Amino acid sequence: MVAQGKEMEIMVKARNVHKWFGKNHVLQGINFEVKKRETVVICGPSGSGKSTFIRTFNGLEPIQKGELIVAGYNVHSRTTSLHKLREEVGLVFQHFNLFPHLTVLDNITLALRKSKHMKKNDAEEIAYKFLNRVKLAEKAKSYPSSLSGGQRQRVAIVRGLAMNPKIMLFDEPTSALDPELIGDVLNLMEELSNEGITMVVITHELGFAERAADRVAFFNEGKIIEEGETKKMIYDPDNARTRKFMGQIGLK
Amino acid sequence: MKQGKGSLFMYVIHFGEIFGYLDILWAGMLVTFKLSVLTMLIGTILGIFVAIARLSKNRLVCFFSTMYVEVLRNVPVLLVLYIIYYGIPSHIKGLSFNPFWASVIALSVNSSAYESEIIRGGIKGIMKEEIEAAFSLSLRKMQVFYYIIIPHALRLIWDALGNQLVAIILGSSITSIITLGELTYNALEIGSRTARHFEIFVVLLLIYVVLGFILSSLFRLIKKLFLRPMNL
Amino acid sequence: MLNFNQFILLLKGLQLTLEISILGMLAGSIIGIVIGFLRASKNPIIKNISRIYVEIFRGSPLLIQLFIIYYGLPILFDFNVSAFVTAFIAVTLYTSGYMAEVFKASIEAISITQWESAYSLGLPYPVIALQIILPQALKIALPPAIGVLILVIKDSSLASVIGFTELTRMSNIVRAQTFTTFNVYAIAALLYFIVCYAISRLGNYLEKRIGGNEIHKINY
Repeated sequence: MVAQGKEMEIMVKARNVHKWFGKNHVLQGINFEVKKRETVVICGPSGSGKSTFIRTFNGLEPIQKGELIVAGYNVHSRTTSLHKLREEVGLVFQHFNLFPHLTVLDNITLALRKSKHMKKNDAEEIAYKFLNRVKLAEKAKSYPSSLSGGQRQRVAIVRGLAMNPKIMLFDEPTSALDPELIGDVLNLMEELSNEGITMVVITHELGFAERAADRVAFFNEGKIIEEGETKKMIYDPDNARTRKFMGQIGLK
Repeated sequence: MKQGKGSLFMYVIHFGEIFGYLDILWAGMLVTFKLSVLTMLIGTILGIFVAIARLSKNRLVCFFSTMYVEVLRNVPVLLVLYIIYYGIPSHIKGLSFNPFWASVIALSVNSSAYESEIIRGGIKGIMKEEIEAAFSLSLRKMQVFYYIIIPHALRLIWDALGNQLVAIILGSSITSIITLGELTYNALEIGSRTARHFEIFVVLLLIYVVLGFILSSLFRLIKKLFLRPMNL
Repeated sequence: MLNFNQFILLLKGLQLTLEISILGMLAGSIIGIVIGFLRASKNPIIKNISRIYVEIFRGSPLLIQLFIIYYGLPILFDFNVSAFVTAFIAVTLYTSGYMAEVFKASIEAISITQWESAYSLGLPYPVIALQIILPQALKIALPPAIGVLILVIKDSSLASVIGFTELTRMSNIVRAQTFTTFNVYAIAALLYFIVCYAISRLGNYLEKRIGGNEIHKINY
């Protein structure tokens, strides 16, 4: 089910979303919105459900109750084609999840060729365009095992971007990286944000949030405790728990 | 026939007698190859089904497939062969297997149990996250299977597959007992014709060892040439 | 169906199977320990020559090894050797091939610092091997050795071909008596299954208790 016209201004609309893992109530009535071209940062302690939440956006995790509309698709309706939804939603994982048996180039072009049915040459053209941008073109024929963590993550981001999605999701993209490699990845993400790509990023890198995010949401125990404009959330949040958490993760 | 120790030397010369019967050995080898290749193919296909069944969430399917594997891994192949070649025809009137097809069935079924373990290990060795990434890129179930799971799993299980093929070729020798004319049976034939049993079996042993070695080397070569990268 | 006596015959066959398997396992393990140390040697000549031994006994069918010994022994000794001796020698050699590799892996799993500290204390190689390395290797080798035992119990069925009476030959005998072919073999299969499955569960239990060793489980 695709909505039309004005509603496309809102990329993500979550209303009263609930999810249980068995008896565990991981998402407790989430209300959340992301507008087109916005960059929203979600932060919170581990186990708070934030990772699960963004994984519901592309149908990796089902929800039991509530309404969730992403890129115009009603995600959990039975009539929705998940395959089509996922062409519009890119997801970058904490552990990169590149395909180890494929070259960097094939990693990027696989979905373009097999899902969007592009010709090999067209797909590779797009791949090289992005690889040049992140200065990894010479690694095109290499395998992921010969790349550093930061390089792998940038390839993972390119892999998602190549599909030209309407929204990019990032699940703690730098948590598995050595400190000196984090910078390159965050810079890339900042550039993307400035170009107007709609992004939802789970991260504790408050420096990045301050530079790139329009809004920040604080997740705790399955609920959004507080959300608001970036500067306010980082430096002067209303809620005591938010304040405590922000103090803990500090500003780098 | 009394022989002193000195006549052991004479036996070296007697190895030469076997050269006259090389064509019989070759015919036997062809049957062995036919049997082994068929067994490997059918065993692998069966093994895939059993592996999937063992990974199923359905308790009943999982239980029966696990029983299938455990029974076949704990019963001698020779007995399975007897059951299929002698046992089943005795139960069902008018049904009889020829030695070749009885052997194919027995060896394939036996091999499928081991193959299913190998394949199951390969599938499990692929991290869930990789599959999630593939779906997130909008690839469909069949595509994820064909482009991600199978190629990756193949690289993980390649060595074990090679070992399994060698095991099948070595194991095919027992089918000589039900008179299938493969390598070992033909060697027995030559032995009874020339009365040089000892010599022919030494030669036979060397043939099997060399066959196994060639096959293993072939698998390693293919791995090196076509299945990069392997350090996953 | 079988009557009671015939079932007892099968049980007798099972007993014989276990006897030959355990005897062969013990003798084969002793040889296997020696070859295993050779295989674990740093000297490339020793390592590769012992590898030939292993390739021969692991890389060829037990059936052929049985035939060679069956026809070869009367040549060496001038009298007819019993089926039991033939089977015993063949099973022993076959087992030694597998156990050599098991022990090789077990020895190599022992940290090299054990060797180094023993040498620094001035101990000679035989003492180090027997008193320090071997006891540890035995413990590590136990779970995969159970796998080899199961393999031997199953492959001992081949000895029936050279006239050694064990469970498989016994089931052939009973089959000839009763003409209930399928049932006899099915019961024999059940007996093998019970024994081997029980032993494999024991192996799993032992592996958990000994715990955390990097020797990959050898699947036979």
